[in-house]
Amino acid sequence: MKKLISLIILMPLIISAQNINGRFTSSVYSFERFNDVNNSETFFRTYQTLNLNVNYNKFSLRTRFNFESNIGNVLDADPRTRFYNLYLEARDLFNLVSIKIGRQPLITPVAGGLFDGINLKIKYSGFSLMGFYGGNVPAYQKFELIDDISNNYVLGGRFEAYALKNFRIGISYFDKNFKPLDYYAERLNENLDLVTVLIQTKSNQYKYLSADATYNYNQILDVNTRYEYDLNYKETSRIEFDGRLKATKDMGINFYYNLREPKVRYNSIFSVFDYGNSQEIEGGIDYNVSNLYTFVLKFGDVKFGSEHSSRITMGANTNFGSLSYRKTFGDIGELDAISVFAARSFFEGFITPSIGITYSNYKLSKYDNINSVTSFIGGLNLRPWRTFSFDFQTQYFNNKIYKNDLRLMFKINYLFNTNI
Amino acid sequence: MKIKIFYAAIALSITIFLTIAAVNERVEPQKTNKNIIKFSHSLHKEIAECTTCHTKAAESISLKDRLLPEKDACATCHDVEDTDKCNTCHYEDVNEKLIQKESELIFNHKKHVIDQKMDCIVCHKGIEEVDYAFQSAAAFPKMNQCASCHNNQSVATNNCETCHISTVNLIPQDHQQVNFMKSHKFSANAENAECQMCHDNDFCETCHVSTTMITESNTAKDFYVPYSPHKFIDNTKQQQLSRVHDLNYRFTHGVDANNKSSECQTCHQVETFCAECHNSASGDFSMEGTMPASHRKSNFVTIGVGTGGGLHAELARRDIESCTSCHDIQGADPSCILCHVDNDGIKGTNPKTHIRSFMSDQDGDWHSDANSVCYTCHRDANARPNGIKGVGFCGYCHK
Repeated sequence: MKKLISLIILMPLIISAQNINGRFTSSVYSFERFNDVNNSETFFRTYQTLNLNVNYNKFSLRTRFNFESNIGNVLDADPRTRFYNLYLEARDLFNLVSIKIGRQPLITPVAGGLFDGINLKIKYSGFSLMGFYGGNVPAYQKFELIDDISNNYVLGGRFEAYALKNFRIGISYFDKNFKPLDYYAERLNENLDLVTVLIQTKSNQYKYLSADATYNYNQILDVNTRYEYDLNYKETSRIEFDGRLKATKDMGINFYYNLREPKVRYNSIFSVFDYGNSQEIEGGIDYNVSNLYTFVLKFGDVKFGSEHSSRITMGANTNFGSLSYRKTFGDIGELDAISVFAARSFFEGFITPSIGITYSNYKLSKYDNINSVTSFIGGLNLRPWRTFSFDFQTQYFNNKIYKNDLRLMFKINYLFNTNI
Repeated sequence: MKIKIFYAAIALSITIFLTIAAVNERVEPQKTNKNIIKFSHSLHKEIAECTTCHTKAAESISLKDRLLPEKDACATCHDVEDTDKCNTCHYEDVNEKLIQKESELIFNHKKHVIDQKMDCIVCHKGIEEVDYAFQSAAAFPKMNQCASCHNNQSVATNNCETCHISTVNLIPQDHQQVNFMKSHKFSANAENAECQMCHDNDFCETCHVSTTMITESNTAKDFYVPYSPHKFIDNTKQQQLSRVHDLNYRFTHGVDANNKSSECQTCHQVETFCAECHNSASGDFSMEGTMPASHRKSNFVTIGVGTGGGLHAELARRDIESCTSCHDIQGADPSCILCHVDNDGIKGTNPKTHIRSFMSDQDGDWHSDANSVCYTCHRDANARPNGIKGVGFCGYCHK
């Protein structure tokens, strides 16, 4: 019934649309799963994705959903249909108001994700005010609304001023609630007898106030700062600073600092433990040799109390791929990794082969042994028409867990755009 | 042996990379039409339409077509038969064809000029004010100009393949900067942000997804690889399955997770994402499953008041988010509560949990809410809202 009502509401929009565009993708991916050391099964998992935009003047209906299932070995919850978004959008009504209703993405400086609800934005003369409210999205993005919205909701807003040249400031409020599942546990009563009790906790919560400011001077200097205050614990949750100076025409210098309290939800059992924050500092340089090459080098260090961990990254980004080397060292794990990816189109985009290789030595903690992993991907994109293409890809892994593991993927893409 | 393999891999990677780089290197012509012919668009703007000289432009359906004026077009006004006047347009001994830049774009002038009835200067802005086209920064439209229509909203799709011959190398310069992964959240909020030119309305949530209402458990039978459908949608890097992380990241992500050099929660909802792999057949993490090596150390948990808790307490103080990534599955994992429980309500006889002066200056929710998380561990008979002062849990503060 719910789906029928949705269809009745949406159909007139589709029929009267001026423009319909989107993309359909169908893919199949193979993988092997070991049930124990000696026995494995091969799976073929399929994904059918539709991305659809239906437009009429300042109004749009937007959706993306995914249907997935296995060929052969059917999983418990198969098939799964995931609605990543489905919302109506009205833009710049009276040159003032934009509104979105339905399952939609939420990107704010404090938190983000999907929610089912409403987002209203008023924008006037260098200032904007945005507010949102809605329910959490059920697991696996099911096409359902949650039952208990009073305990499972997001609520918040953002005020932003960008009237001053090169300067922007924003203040955000975010309140996100989750009701954990009830569960039974074995406990001792006051007489130290074992009893089974139902653990029911109330809604957990993130509740933050945030301020952020950005200054940009002629694309030479960029300074971004952010501050978060945890309203539940009444303490600073985060301080973040990102600065970039374009030192010469081709060279940029970057500095980053982050002080962060772990994000543990209020009223979670973990919220009562004694834990510390981390401080991260990073500096880097990028240099454009030409329009085709950019070399990057950066060093970072993360400090936890008396321990710290450092990392060095260097490499090149180019129009045809990337090459990077990374080393991590310090108190908490070690890593040496090299990665290369390259792709190039031939015959005016008709055929595009790609290749990627990585090799790493790593030690996840001081309690672990050193391991190594090799991985490889080889791909081919065929585009006989602009709107229709095929992708093939093979992936190979080899490490202590996945010995000579080979996977395959095949995908068909079709995109469309129709003005009615 | 391993180090030899490592260096061999480095050498192979660099060789492949440089080989493809060499194939892709293109030398841009230094010469411009300013060196070939004397001409001024601004001088001609009052006396001729664009199509008078660019005769084939309006009917052209490909940027491979030659769209620059030929001599015949000039001859409609200029007397090209009079050899004394050659230097009106030509430099001495320079009689070359005009240079038309190669383009990797797909563009149909006919569709825009004739079907859509657009003026040339809508796209080629400022060209009527300069002599040569390259002298106007806006003469050849940038992508944001195209995006005013190709925006998935009005008349045209913004699918990359519509205009770009190849989508594998569409990486803006700022995305190649050393700090992009950390700074993109700031630039994406900018008033003039142009992310939507390349990225669909659903691009952000491919990472910033936040599914939180878990109403069912993931059993071993239901487990599959990969649990990442977002890798199967199409973005500009259509062929690259691993876009953000390296190909081997599945195996080495523990280094980042331990080091907090990436904030995993920004993109991954830990209750679903981590548990997909770090799961066990029974769903009880305290009994089995993919257990970190540290958990197998003999001193990982020490029991008894005054023992300090052992290694797990040290690790939890340093990085409690790594604990929550496996154990806080909507409160359904009771591992912590097996030990951290206070049945007698007598201060100092149970595992230490709270920091010094925990909540001492706040009116905690245990005063009013029987579902407060405090009562999960503090289970003496008097542990309840409006309990008896001085007794059990309430006696911690109320003497």
